[in-house]
Amino acid sequence: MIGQRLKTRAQVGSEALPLDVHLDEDAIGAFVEGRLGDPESPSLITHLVACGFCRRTTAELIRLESHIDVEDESIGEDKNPGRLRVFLEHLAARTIAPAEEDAVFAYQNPAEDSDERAPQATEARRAEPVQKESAAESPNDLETD
Amino acid sequence: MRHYLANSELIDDRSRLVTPSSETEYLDNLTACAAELDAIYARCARACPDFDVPPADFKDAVIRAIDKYLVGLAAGRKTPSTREIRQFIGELHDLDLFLAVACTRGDEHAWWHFDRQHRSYLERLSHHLVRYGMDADEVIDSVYVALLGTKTARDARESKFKTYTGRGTLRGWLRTLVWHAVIDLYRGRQAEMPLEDWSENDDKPLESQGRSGDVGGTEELMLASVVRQRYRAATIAALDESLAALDDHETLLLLYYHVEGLKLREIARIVEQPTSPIRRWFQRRSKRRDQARPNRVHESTVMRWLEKVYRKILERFHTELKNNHGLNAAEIEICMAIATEDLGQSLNLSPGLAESKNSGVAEAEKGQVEGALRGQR
Repeated sequence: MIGQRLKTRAQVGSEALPLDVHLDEDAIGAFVEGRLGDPESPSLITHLVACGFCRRTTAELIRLESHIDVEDESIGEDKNPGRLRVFLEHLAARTIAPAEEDAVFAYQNPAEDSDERAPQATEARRAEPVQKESAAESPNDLETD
Repeated sequence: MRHYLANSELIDDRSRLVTPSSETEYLDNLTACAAELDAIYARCARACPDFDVPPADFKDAVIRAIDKYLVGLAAGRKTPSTREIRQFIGELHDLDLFLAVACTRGDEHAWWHFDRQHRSYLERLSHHLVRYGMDADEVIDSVYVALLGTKTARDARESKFKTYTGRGTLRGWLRTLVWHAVIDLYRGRQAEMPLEDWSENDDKPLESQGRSGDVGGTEELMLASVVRQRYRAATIAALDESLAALDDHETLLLLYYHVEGLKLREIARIVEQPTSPIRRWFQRRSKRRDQARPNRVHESTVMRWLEKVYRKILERFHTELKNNHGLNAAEIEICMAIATEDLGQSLNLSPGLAESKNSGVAEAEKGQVEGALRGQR
């Protein structure tokens, strides 16, 4: 019931606020990064308690931050082999004469390549469409305000 | 509909101090910090010698930041002291601000630098947030349009960069900008949809979707009798009183956890910075223990804070039921059961927990919360 009452109260609080009064990107960004000091934070926290829109924005940005950090790591692992592979393929196309086996080799190569990569990178790629989908739904959720 | 990238009428766009005496004191305190201002300008100019930023423009930007945070957002407090202003200047992300001022002025080198440093991040962020590549491109375009500035106020181009103060990082600011651009894009799409395409659920608040139906059904069965209805009414009233008595910091923590579905580790992220207002608020209340505590805030710390808040709610809840509703110990127990019985369900259905990829963490987290609540009782 605590959760339910909080939601009800939050909704009532949001409705009482004027529609055009929201925190700007600068204040939201600074809050999410925990940069605000004692003098400026009380009014901002009071606003976040009352304004569901701004609060949800901060919550989504916190989630986003952790997703993007995870992606950054996986991109870092992925990049170099990708470029190297492109380079080697170019090289192979120039130097090796076309033969029938090439078709088989080209077909099998991606699977071999993916097996050789780090398991985390493969997992991150598998998880990517799910993350995209859930994140894409979030802005729609914000329409409730 | 509100478009964030275009609108600048925001809560913290306030005027300076109210009384002339405090205004004079404020200006004196600002003047006393002139050396600090000169020092950070010199440092930035040395670090980015190619950027065309006159000292006056940079100092104006810093003073705007001080105005906004130490005067505007801190409205009602005393005039910011020289020490507070010095500390504020010292905490600014000065190089990010320097870049933003240079870009506001349309400096070509600065724009090249910005593009090289942040473009790929903006692209990655947009593609992460929206489903289709074309939409992501639209988001990036709208962010760039806002950054370049299209509106003309007195024949001058008004760049969004002007609203960046350096209080947070430029990257954090850009992240919020992209987020608002995505909201604008989706809102624009919904406005274009014919009425018959709107699903009924779209009008309902997020929190009412999925959870309340199940909970309501259970409640109806359990609270069938008139007596139960009476206890339920008393429970709701006492709970509302208890929640209203909380400090805003405590309420925000509960709202993040219960309403927004943030996980404990995500909440720990907001309070990771030692300067985080929520962190400092809670730590001030347990100073002695915190002296020996490391800087890092873990999930268990957030859990402890939540426990404290639950304890406070429960104490107030008891007092309210006893004093204002005249209930005896046995009746209070019934109300307590009503107040906590659906909490376990709501936690099971919490989006934050359901979404969690690491079910072990989610289970442990749920167990922690449920255990804490049982403990409180």
